[in-house]
Amino acid sequence: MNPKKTRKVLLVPLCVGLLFLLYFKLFLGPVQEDIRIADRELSALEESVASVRDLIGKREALTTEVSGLESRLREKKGDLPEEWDSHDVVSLLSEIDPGMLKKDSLIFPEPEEGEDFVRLPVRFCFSSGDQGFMDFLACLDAFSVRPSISDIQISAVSGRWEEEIRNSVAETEKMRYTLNVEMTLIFCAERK
Amino acid sequence: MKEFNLLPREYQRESPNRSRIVVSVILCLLIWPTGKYGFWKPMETRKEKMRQLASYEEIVEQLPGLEEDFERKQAEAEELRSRIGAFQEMEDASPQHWQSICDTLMDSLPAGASLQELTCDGTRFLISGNCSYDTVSTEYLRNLKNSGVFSDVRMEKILYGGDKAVSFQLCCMLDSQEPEVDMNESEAVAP
Repeated sequence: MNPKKTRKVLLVPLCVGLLFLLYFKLFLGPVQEDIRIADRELSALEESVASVRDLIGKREALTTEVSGLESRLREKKGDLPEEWDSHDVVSLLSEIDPGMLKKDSLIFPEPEEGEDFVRLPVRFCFSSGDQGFMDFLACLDAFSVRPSISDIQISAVSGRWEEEIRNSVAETEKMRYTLNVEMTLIFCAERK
Repeated sequence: MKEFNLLPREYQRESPNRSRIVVSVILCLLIWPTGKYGFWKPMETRKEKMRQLASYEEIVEQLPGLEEDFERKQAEAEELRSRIGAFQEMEDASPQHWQSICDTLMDSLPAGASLQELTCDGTRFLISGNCSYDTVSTEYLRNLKNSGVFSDVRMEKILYGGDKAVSFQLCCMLDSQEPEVDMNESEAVAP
């Protein structure tokens, strides 16, 4: 073989190899190292990022919930009467049919201040028949300013059996009571 | 006039133009893949990874502030829930609710029994009454248990009178559920 050609054949792959070595050492190697390091850091951060995203989602849901709760609270506070005192209680109770119950006493304990409203307790004692008592409860429920009942004490003064017609056909006996009732009505008013 | 090369084939010189063209074509064809996969692609990948890393770091930096904000919001929601719960509690003790309780107490009463006294301090009921036989009072206890309105229904005492009449006293708890804030409702009223 021609020695000149042999030298050329050897030199070209050598130069190509040298060029590739230089390219790898100076460019591709550092770039790949950077990519490897970045990959490692990314996988380490992956979990934290997932928890941040999860937290963001939860916070958004909570923000929606809070705004819903706020508007619900506003609505509930809006339903409360601005002014409410013993005069209103007496007027309200006098609206109930006087024949239905015999009032014994009305006691007005100290009002309790809550965060959003003032509780105005009223201790009401009266006597009535059991049906009258049920009607009284129904009347209280129908008022626009509906009180709540925190405690109740009922004593049967007397009882008698009475015939009751059920379904317009069958007649059954039912005990009818005369009751002494003591209950605490709680009215709520806006806090000033 | 035609030229003839009489040298043996291995000593003949190739036409310089032909070999140069071949090398040039090969080089040209190699430039695009070498440029793309040897330079542009790794650089682009590194750039993309660095950008992603920066964005991840930016996200992770938010974590402490975000946790604080989340806890604050949670406390705020809890407080609002308890404030609404106070309203709910008042609504739960409505006259209508008491009416239904009284109805249950009366409807559960078996024949031959009558009520004497009823005391309730919110959730605990103390009921006393009279009946003809002790079994009637326990039937009342069973009826109250099965009504689903009361829990922990317990007979406290039965007193046997001289004239075959029996007086009994039992206590029970109102099955009250925690005032739950219905989120569907809150969402419905949310602006």
